[in-house]
Amino acid sequence: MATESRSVNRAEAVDERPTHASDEQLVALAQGAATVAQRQEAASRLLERYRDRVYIWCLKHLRDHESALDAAQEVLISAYRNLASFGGRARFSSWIFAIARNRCLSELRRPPIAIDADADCDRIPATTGDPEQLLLEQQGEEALLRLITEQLDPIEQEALWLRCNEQMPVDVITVTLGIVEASGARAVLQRARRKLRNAMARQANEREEREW
Amino acid sequence: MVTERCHPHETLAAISELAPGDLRRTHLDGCPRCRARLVAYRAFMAGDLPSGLDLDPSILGAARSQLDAVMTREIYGTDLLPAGRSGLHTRLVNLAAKSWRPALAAAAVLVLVFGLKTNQVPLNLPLPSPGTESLLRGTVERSQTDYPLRVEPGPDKGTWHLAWEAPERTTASAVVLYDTDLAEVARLDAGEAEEFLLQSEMISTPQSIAFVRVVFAVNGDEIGRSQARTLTF
Ligand SMILES: [Zn+2]
Repeated sequence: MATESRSVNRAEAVDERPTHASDEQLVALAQGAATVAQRQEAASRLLERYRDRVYIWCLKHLRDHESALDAAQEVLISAYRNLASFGGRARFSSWIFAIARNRCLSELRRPPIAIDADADCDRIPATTGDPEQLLLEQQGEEALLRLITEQLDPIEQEALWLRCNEQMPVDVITVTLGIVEASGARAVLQRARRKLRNAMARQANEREEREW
Repeated sequence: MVTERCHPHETLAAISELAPGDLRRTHLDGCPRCRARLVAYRAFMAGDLPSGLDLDPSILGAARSQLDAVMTREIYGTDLLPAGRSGLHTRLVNLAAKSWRPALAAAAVLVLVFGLKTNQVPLNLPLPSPGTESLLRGTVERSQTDYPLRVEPGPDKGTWHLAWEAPERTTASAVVLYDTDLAEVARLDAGEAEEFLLQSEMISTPQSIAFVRVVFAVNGDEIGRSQARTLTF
């Protein structure tokens, strides 16, 4: 029983059957081999290499075997159907990853980062002004990025962007970044938010003082 | 420096292997969002599972057989068609969408930090890279600037009034709505008008809308577009 229920570890999870052809060679064959059979064989071998990774990526994000399976199917089929137009400007692996990532992000499709359990931060104190106004004054994105790079250490920056940019689940961020703190990425994110809020409040106060 | 244009997603792995000192590598090393995207890619390639989400071998085995069956049907049921116009179009649309993502993430950071919904925060969404741009352009010259777009609450609940000034040669404008992932949710024809009353009933999933922009066309060729703005129902 113990053997049957043992979980799959990292080394076993991705099935990497050795083959001599590189991804790029298989792409070239799938796109341009002389016979239909050769093209199909190359495409099949290529996509089989990414089958486990795609499924596991979807499972990590969607947290449910059935949803992950549906998503992985769509990713693999979409990669196959668009393979003819894959231009080789990027690596095949990054290309298929982008498809998987986009598929999972649309599946998650949650406007409410605002009602995300991990966004349960305190409201900004009223004296610091309207955050939207603050954002406008700070010229938006670039100012925010500058603030992030100036105020947060690299782990906090990465955790924040993985959460916001990749919508990566908090426990996956913990593992991905190798965070050893007791409460993992959640603590890191909370600290990052606190630092950013304080920095923005400080900036607003400084501005007010200047205006006086 | 994070003030420069971020790298397209699919180039990050190659850039990370450039010699230190290369400008593209320097950007990557100093930019949290590019680094985070690279971290995500590496996690994908490693294929490891987070602790607490142990995967029973029988489940992975079942997933493998099912995916193999689906792919066999797909691949051996069809020949891979040569790249057609629609394939190219899809790629261009995807590329264009990708170049917007950093701005979306910045908005997400703000929402995360403040726990608030941000309405009408102007986002400086970059245009697609020059390569994409010239392909998109074809024979029609395309504007490099994003035209101003005003978004104000409409007369009734669940309505927004949009107003813009289209470039001179425009023959038709369309209001394009996106979700939080910048996937296009709806495209509404505004004809020759320079304003539009957006009503939630016009969209099947109004709650999914996060961004809006207007695109301008001359006889079907896109010649420019407005700024993107956040908008929620
Ligand atoms: Zn960057």
